[in-house]
Amino acid sequence: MIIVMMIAILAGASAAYLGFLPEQVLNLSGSLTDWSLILLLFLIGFDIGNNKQSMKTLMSADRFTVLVPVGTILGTLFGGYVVSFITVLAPKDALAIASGFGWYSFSAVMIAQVKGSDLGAIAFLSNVFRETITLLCVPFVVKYFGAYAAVAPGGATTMDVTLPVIEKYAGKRAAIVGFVHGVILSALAPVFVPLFL
Amino acid sequence: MAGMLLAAGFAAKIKNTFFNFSLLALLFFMGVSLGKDKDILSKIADFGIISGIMSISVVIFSIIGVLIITKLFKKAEK
Repeated sequence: MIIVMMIAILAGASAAYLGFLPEQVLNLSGSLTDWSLILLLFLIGFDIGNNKQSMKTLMSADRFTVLVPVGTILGTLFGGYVVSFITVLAPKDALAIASGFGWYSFSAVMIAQVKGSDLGAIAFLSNVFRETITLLCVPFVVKYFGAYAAVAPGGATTMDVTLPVIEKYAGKRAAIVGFVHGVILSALAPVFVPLFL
Repeated sequence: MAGMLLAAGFAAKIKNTFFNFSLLALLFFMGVSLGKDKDILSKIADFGIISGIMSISVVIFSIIGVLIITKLFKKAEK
């Protein structure tokens, strides 16, 4: 899916850059994006409410299922804030990008809507890189820092893309924590990103 | 709320189709907004460097955050 998503962005960018799109489409792109975003947010909310299994897991899991997401959120926001001192990003923009918690599709479009396509592109790449780094570093993090620490880098992706890697290297218990961690962060990303915009 | 009221997996195929469609439409138009900017090519390298720094920073600090918070609670229990 990530390849299809990258192709969608590249196709849009190339078509607009090379002048293949009529002026009307360029002018309408804003309102089309708004409606797509509204539909996407509705479907995300629907999915979270409709996933009864994740609700059950959330209720029955131990205290680490709450502690690990709290640590991830605090660490991620601090990490984003630190970046504002190293790069040209404003602190609020850096915090908004970090608040995507690895959910590149959602955070990128939300940030692009409010702050422009440049920041949206940085949000997309940052969160894609976060997911990629997670897939590569989980075995090392488990070895040197323990199973729960290995859940943190994945952010919202620990409920889907990075969950198999966590289960393989950190075990079943960490996988349950990882799944709930992903559900919590996926539910909180739509709250946190607009908070900093 | 609609999701909680309806049966689990309700209209899953239709929902997934709409989800993928709206997501790809959003990303396409985000690309259009990027492509409208004629200076985009010169900005791409900067975007990559900033994104790399951001992702490494959030990964490192999220691990530190979880380590600190789990250790604090383990200590408090003892």
